[in-house]
Amino acid sequence: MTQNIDQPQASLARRIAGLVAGIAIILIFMLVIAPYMDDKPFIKPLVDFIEYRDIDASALYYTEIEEFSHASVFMDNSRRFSPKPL
Amino acid sequence: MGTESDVVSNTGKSTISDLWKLEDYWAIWLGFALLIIGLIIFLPKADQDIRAKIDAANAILTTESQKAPFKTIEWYNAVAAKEKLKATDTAIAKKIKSIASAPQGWKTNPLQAFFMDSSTAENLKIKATEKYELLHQKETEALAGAAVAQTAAALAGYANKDLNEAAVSAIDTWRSAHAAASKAKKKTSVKQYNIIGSLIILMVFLAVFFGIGKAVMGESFIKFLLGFAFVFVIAVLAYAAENNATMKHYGIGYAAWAIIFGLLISNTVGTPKWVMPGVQTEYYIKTGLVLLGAEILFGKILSIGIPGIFVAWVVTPIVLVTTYWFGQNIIKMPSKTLNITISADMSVCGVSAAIATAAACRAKKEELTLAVGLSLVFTSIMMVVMPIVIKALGMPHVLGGAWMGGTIDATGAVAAAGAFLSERALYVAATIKMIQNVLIGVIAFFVALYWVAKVDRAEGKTVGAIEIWHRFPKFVIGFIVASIVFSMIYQSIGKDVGYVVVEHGALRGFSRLAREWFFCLAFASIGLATNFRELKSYFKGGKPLILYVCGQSLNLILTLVMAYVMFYIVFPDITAGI
Repeated sequence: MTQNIDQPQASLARRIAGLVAGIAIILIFMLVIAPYMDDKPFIKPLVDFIEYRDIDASALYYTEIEEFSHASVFMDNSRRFSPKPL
Repeated sequence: MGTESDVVSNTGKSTISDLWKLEDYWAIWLGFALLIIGLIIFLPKADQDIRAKIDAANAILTTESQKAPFKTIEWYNAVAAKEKLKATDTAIAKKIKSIASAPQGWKTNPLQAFFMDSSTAENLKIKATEKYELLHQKETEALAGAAVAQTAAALAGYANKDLNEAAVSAIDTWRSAHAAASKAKKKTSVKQYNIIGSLIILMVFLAVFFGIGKAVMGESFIKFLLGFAFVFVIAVLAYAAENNATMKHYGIGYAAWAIIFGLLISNTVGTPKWVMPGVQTEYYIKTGLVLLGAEILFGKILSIGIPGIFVAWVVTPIVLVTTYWFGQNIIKMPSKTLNITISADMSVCGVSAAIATAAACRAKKEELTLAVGLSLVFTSIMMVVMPIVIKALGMPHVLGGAWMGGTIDATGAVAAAGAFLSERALYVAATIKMIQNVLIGVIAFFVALYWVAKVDRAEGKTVGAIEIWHRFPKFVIGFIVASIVFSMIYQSIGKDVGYVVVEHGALRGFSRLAREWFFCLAFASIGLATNFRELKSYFKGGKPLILYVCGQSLNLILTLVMAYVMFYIVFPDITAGI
């Protein structure tokens, strides 16, 4: 008993084939296309930098990423202990 | 998200039994239970030893700030000493993290998301150590260069502008090398792991946690548990996909993967009927949003002073309202809820703003999916293109950082693009984005209020205060109260101690871990209940894309102009101090 909302009339074999094809497309994207894109000249410098600094570019909110903590601490202390011009 | 039944159930009258019969209240009770537990665990960690270390570091900062006209090496070391103080480094925090941990990072072998044997771990450790030693060497050399430059500036009494600038430049280089070495050092502690056991424990805990509410609300506890297990597996797979090294480069996170995996199942083999009791999008989102409320610390809006408030809190609402107006009156968007969800998603901070706004106005799940998809695509493009454009134009990095922080949707992408430009750009970009993050609470509140008072009212009728109360989404109140309470705690114990026990204790070490899982479960639920054909119908005529592009274009122009005016014309002193 399943709730197939897109292809209610499709046979089980066809639905399973759809699932397998979908998984294959995802894997090809993750393991072939995206790594290929990584080497493109306009993307590679940023990709290498993200690897080098180990930045989580997929974070949704500031509490999920270390760089924001560094920035917050830096900015807060910059305001509180700002160097005075001599 | 919004369905006909939701709209009907939250209108009319309120009764005392709503407190245990309505999902909105359960989201508040469950969310607050976790927040209180987090505070009980972490607030006592602010002991005398921690306070003494903070005082010692602040004494050094005071001395150094009066010594030189720039931030010295000792200034940075004192900040680093404070930054190291985190309640998340305590034993109980590490235990909590190990139980709530999501699948790990992997490159080519997906099984490494779940377990790693000792020999693989040892090999990775050797490679990580080699990388760290190389970066540590670079850091040491950069520090030596910074020390030489700083000494030269000091010998001239800090009166030689060229020597001062050379010292600042050398110190910046050392900071960048230090950041890379610090991250590399963490990877040298790689150990063998198997997270299957902890994932099962977490699944059972979360199933019971949410199941109790469902049972009290009159639904079958057992049926919920069975369905939940399936949704949880999709959420785990979404985390595993997010943690693929290549996917991280493009900022494709669990939200997108959970929707994709859910859609794939529901639109091919079909979502099994026994799973549907566990497909509880709103329940998970509302509970997650109450937890997110605690992460909205209002004290953060002053992090970069008045220029930041103008860039984030003046431009963003203008862009949001203008884009919504444009969508309604020029593009003629077919759905107001889709319009406001995309407008908030684009103008504030991507997925997290989309979730909060969509829940506040009861947008349909397909509308949230569309907003998340648009945000994902444009975030990836802007993360790559904006640093290139800023470098090509020779734009000052403070200005570039403010521009990216105010316009790139996703928080993680802002960090990547900002750091790619420079440390200074990162600090500004991250701070502007963080101030925007805080805006979510205000926007969710006013969108909820506007919807119940204006959009949902019958034509020609006015809506009184009592009626607004009856129809107001109650979880938004929990969301706002959590934000106010945590902001007050954070301010009252002082920012330095708040950093240790609230931000890096009760929030990052506890509620955030739960909140991420709840959002992931919500997105998996959206995918499992979404019809692909219906989703396509929302995109008819490309209006959502036109809305996003036009709104983002306005955002890019206004943010750049405001950042320039604020950081370089009105408050150049603040810019000089960054």
